[in-house]
Amino acid sequence: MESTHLSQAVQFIFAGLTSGSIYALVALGFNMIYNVTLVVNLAQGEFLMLGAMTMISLYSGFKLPLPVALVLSTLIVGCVGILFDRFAIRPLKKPSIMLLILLTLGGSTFLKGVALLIWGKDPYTAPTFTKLKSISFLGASFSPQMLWIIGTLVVVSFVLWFFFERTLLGKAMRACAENPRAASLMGVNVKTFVMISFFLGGALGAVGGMLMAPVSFMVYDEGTMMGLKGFASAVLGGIGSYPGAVVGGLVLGLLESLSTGYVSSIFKDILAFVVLLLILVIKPTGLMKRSDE
Amino acid sequence: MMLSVESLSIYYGGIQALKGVSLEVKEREIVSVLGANGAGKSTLLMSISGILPSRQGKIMFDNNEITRQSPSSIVRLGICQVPEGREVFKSLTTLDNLRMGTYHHYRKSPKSLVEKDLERVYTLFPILKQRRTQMAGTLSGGEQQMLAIGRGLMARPKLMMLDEPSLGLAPLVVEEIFRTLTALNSMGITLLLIEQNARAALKIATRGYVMETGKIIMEGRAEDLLENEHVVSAYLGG
Ligand SMILES: Nc1ncnc2c1ncn2[C@@H]1O[C@H](COP(=O)(O)OP(=O)(O)OP(=O)(O)O)[C@@H](O)[C@H]1O
Ligand SMILES: [Mg+2]
Repeated sequence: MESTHLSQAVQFIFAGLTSGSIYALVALGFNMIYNVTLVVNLAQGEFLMLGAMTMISLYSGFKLPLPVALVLSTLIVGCVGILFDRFAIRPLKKPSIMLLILLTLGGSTFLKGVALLIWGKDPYTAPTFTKLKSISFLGASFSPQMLWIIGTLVVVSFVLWFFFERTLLGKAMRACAENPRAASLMGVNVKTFVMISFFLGGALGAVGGMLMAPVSFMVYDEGTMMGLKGFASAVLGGIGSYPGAVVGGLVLGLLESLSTGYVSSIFKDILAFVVLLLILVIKPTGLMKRSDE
Repeated sequence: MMLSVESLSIYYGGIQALKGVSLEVKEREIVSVLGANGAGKSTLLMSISGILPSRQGKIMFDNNEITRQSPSSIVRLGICQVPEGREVFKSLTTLDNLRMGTYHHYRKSPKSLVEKDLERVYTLFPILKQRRTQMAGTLSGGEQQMLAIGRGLMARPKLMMLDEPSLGLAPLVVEEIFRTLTALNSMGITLLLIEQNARAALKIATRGYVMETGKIIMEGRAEDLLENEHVVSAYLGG
């Protein structure tokens, strides 16, 4: 009896960490774009869906080797991010916050429409990255994909930390975010960094989607809910904070899986809204205060 | 001629902020631009730096036309601006702010040379060495101004343009800043200095310009301007 309780708890926790890691990746993508441009990109979830769909097509349709399909999809969606900036955001002469939000919302609908044209309404899935059947731990059993998901989040977090804390390029990107004009005066090409941020935003979304594809079904409009949960995670952790995105994503994932497991599954999808509203009312700066404030 | 600005006009929407401004800076000079609030001094520097595109006029630097060049290529040519209000990167440390100054050349510069530049800044402003791991946003106003100048210096400019470096600082700190400017000049850096502290600026300057509502209304040697009736009554509180 004791041990089934334990294994059940372990199962819930790992399930939470797994979906939480995906939310964290979406939230990191949000912050990547927000930090440099102050654009709250409501199409972030669509980047995730596009990453998954592209990867599935390249792998199952075009029969490319898995690693090639993964890398190519990341690059392709990164480029979609750049195009998004180039054709939707940059042409704006006088961008206001409201206009930008509407624009990214329009962009999200557009990307969904394109996905509907290409992939139709059918759900797709992908094989797990490794052939192992499942892993047992403390009486609970997991898909090996879970290790890929959590491992990728760890690696991505480390790479981002290294980039922003240890390289001048990363610091220049932070400088752009804080004061674009002063950064230009130092010779930083702000437009290039805006482009890089949209590329990375797209790429991070794609990575989330590709990791998720083997453990769930991907449909053309799957991005909307994921985008919302990623956004809730970013706000929960403190919008703009990278550690906050990771913490926010994991906390939301855990809350969802524990409430689904112990209370009822009806909470699963409304929880993100509740968390979003609560944090905006109680502590709008999020759980993790940014080091620069 | 190191820098020459020829009949430069700048508009903000429909409003004309610069109305055909011409100005010259020779190598090794300290040139001071005086003018009341809203005269267009910052606008002038921002357009030389390439931040504000100019619709009319011509800017030459070291025999290159820079009128329509990007801010980054202008920095690479050797013009660095220390902007009004310091504009240090508050969320970066003092040392990282200084490193940001090296942004346009750090890939090509040997590390030892950058270290030497850093030592030069620390010699000018020893306090920055003490504060090097501190977030720039937590520095005092005077320290931020020193940091802004230090950051500019790390860019290895031939021409440094300073926009009101003494603004809002205590008299002792102002003195230190002006002493540093003289030191920079004797290191071989040419200075274009915007100041409301007209007396102090003209004392260290070689030549000066007076700007009013987007126009240069007077120019001359600094010692002459210090005695000019209009300058004395309008800017020297006499
Ligand atoms: N971004 C802007 N948009 C519209 N008008 C502007 C802008 N920046 C400056 N101006 C206007 O252009 C004129 C010149 O401004 P500028 O900042 O160059 O003056 P300044 O001489 O630097 O003044 P100060 O001594 O107060 O710094 C002013 O009338 C100002 O209101
Ligand atoms: Mg000014």
